[in-house]
Amino acid sequence: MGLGTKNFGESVKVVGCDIFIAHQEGVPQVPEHIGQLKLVSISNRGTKVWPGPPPKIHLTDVHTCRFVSINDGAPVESKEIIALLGKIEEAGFEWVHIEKLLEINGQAGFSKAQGE
Amino acid sequence: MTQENTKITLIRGDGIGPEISDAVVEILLAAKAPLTIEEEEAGLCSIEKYGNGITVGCMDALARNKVALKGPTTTPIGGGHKSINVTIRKTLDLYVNLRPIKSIPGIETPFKNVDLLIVRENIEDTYGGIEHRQSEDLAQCLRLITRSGSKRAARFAFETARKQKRKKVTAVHKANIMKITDGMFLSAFREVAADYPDIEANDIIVDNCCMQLVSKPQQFDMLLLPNLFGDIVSDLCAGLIGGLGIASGANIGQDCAVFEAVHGSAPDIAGRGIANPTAMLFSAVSMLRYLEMLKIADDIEDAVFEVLRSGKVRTGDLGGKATTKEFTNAVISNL
Repeated sequence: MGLGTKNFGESVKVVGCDIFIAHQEGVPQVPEHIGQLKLVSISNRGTKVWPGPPPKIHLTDVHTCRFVSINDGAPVESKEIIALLGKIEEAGFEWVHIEKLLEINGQAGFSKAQGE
Repeated sequence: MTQENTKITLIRGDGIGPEISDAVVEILLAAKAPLTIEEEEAGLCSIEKYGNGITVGCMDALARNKVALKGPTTTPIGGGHKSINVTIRKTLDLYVNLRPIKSIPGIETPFKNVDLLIVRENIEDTYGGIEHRQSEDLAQCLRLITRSGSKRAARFAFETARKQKRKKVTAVHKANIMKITDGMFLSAFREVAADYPDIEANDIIVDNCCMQLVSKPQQFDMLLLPNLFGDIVSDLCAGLIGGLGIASGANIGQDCAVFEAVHGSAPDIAGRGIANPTAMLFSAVSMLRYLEMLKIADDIEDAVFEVLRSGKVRTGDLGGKATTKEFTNAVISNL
């Protein structure tokens, strides 16, 4: 397990992260693959806005980008997430908040966006 | 000259939904409402048939027809199914929930002459449903409030106040504790209020508001609340006028509106023909007003008031023994 996960109990596995990105116009064109992580959804105020048809909802200026391992269900190390944040900044995006996605005793410890 | 019918979507729903929907449709037809009704399925019935509480086809119909009347739907607890109501509200961006709270003749409650309108922001707050476990011990739900979302709900409230000739809008909040989120909600409210100098604007802390509501509800004209407080306070207010069996609701967005009874699907009495259709009927009345079919709306509302005032034909929840059919017939005979 990577940096940080040693402080969790045995039942906890980090399986990805939600990165909140400030973006003014429409849905951000975030790279879909960065390193060993893939973008699986973008949501706005809890409603999925990518992938799929363009949403017909009012968008606020922060979008939640959900990344998981390209190897489905594989654990994700903190150093991969830190690298991901660097790549997102290099791509011109401003991240404002991050949540790790934990699986605890095999159960997802995070909600799905509406429509995800 | 014949008036072209307006097409609406009807979702009959689960439990008592189909029987109260049938009663409401029968009354709409008897009142000669110029509606064409396109029926769609959502809820438990849809999960059982299609594995999904609401299908793409149903969502397309709601978006296409723009106006819908909806019976109560059941969302199974657990199993990962999202609430149908939340799905519809968020997908169609129905950003306010409107709940009229008005004393009804013949319904005895501790309060007389209550007449207030609740506007609840319908998308944000904890209802974004963004939840994370941060450890084995700690779970969090993000509470999102935006200035833009708060402002459009506030503007809707003030515009509605003008249309309904109401005099005062009260913002309800907890900005003394949640200074950033509810502070933003409150400042957005004040910013919008400045555009409506003809309407009084004030604010109240939510806990004090609840105490005032159960002491002297007549002091309020309109309430504007963030989503979670709005959910709780609007049901509290339904209790002031006789309960959820007579409380109507509307979810309104820029392009679409869904009108629904606010009570549940009451599976314990489903199929027995004893459910009270009043809440859904009042929701239909609100829908007719939204469609500017004002005369028919007034006719139906007056007929329901007359039946309730006379007290002769009442369903069990209001202390009577009438069946849904007997109540429906009584309303029709008073049209």
